[in-house]
Amino acid sequence: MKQPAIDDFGDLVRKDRVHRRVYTDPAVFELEQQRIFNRSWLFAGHESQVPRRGDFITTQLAGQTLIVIRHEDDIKVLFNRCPHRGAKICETESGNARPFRCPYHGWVFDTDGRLISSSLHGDYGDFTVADADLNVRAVPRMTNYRGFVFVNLCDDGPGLEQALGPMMSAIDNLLDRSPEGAVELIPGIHRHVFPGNWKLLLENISDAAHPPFVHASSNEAGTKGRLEDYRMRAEDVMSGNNQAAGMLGQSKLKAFQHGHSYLAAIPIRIKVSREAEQEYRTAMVQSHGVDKAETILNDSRHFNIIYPQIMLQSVFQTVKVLRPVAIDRTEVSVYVFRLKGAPQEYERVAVQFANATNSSASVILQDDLTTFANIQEGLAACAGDWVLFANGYGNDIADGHGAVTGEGFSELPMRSQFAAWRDYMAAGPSGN
Amino acid sequence: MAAGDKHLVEALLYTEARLLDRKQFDDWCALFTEDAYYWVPLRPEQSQPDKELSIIYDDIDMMRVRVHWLKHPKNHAQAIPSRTVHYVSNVLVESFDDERQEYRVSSALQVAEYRKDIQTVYSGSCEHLLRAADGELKIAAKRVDLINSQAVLGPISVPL
Ligand code: FES
Ligand SMILES: [Fe+2]
Repeated sequence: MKQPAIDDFGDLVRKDRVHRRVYTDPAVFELEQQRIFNRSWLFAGHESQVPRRGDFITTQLAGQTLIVIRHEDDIKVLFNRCPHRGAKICETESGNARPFRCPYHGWVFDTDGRLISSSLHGDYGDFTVADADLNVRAVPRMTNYRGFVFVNLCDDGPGLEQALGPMMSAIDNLLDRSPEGAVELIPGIHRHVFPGNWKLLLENISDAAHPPFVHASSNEAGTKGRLEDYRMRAEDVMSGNNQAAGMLGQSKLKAFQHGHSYLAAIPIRIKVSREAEQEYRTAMVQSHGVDKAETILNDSRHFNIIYPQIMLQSVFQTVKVLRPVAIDRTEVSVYVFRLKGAPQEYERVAVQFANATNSSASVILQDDLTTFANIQEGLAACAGDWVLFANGYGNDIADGHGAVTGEGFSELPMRSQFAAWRDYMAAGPSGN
Repeated sequence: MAAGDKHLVEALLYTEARLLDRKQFDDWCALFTEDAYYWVPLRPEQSQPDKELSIIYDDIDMMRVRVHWLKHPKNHAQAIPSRTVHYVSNVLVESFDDERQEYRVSSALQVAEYRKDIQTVYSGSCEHLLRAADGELKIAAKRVDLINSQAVLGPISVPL
């Protein structure tokens, strides 16, 4: 059979399968950076990371080095590039930028990027600090949604709420689990890397069929390692995971336009003491009312995928963000949040859960990461060019408004992700 | 603290290293007290394991879960097993609590790991809390501060 051409996206992506080149061809990676990551809404950080004026963090999104900085009451996202001769202005991962001064020739900027003074003396023609071209450049679009800072590197296209559509409710659910409707980042970010394509991670997130195979070792270890004196520990999370593995076939999947989806109806709950739970529920009812509190806490979505970068688990107060580094290399950052106004135990359990599931030493995560590496190596072989996502195909139920429902082991989320992938890639280069 | 104590302390640390290199993980767990914890913080100055994320914060039960997993035949991360050498040096008994019979011991740690054609080196400083009870010296706490704890890390399968 003839090989599909690199830019023939209709041919690389079919209804129930994709050509393996989408995972292995470096040219595809370059196009994805321009056409997907340069045009999507990406998570850049949380406002609690920069509480005071001038506080900043630096981050990398779609190949760009960015500064997320607290200006007056608001947050700015700037390119980490001096308008004079291009030096990175903020050298560290975080800090306070007052003065916000370039380390090369000492130009000084306001915390919104406006040039205040330059070291240039003498004859520079029309040079004036009021020249807007001499400000540190802000990203084309940024939106601070209830403390979550999102960036879009393209100046046209749908706004955040329109682009995320029904996934905005996933962010709301995480925040609404706080009796104060607000969260704070718990210090520390779990960061790991795997030698595989970024799409493998998104596909795995709602793959209900893999846990009995990939996670047999940690599931059994969690169950067997359990001691008689029951205590609340991350170990219980793992045996809970084991129990959930049996439930996965009954899970519900829902996919939306633009590649978003979620996996729901898996009864995984953070285990806290009865007292803490009582205290928490009382606080929730006080601030949200009985009905809304119930709705918030009964949200059973296990994993939300906000295509192409964000994986959100509101039950575990966790936001996982991927960063493609190369066609066969992906970095992941995991942010865990403290629910303001919730008992301290909720924070402790979220920390335990994160350490048990998202640390690079997690016995659960390691089996996933190893599997991604194995897939990447397997896909390099030319034997058979197609990767199948046929499970459940034909049983998908469309609601006519862009949402599709599937059950259990359906590979619906992958099909939906590749439909979005094809749309992004076929739309051509972004305006920037 | 008696004159021979330094020798006993070093012997325990070297024994621990050797058990790990020989993959005698159950014997490794048996070196720890029942109230022990094994901690690899994310942040060098970290003092609160419950309010910040860690790479590892295991109590003895979680350590046993980890060992179960390491020995499990369907463990993918170790389907191709790692070979390791744990180097322990710069051992210093920092303090001795006479009442509790506890030694606070600092050391330098380097773990060389070979797996799937790749050699990885972990370096860090180590703090052991050792407790003498019933004529035996055991590990009541172990903390490893990796110099690259905040880096983007690959899977850390083997205990450090
Ligand atoms: S490059 Fe920044 S002041 Fe010259
Ligand atoms: Fe998994």
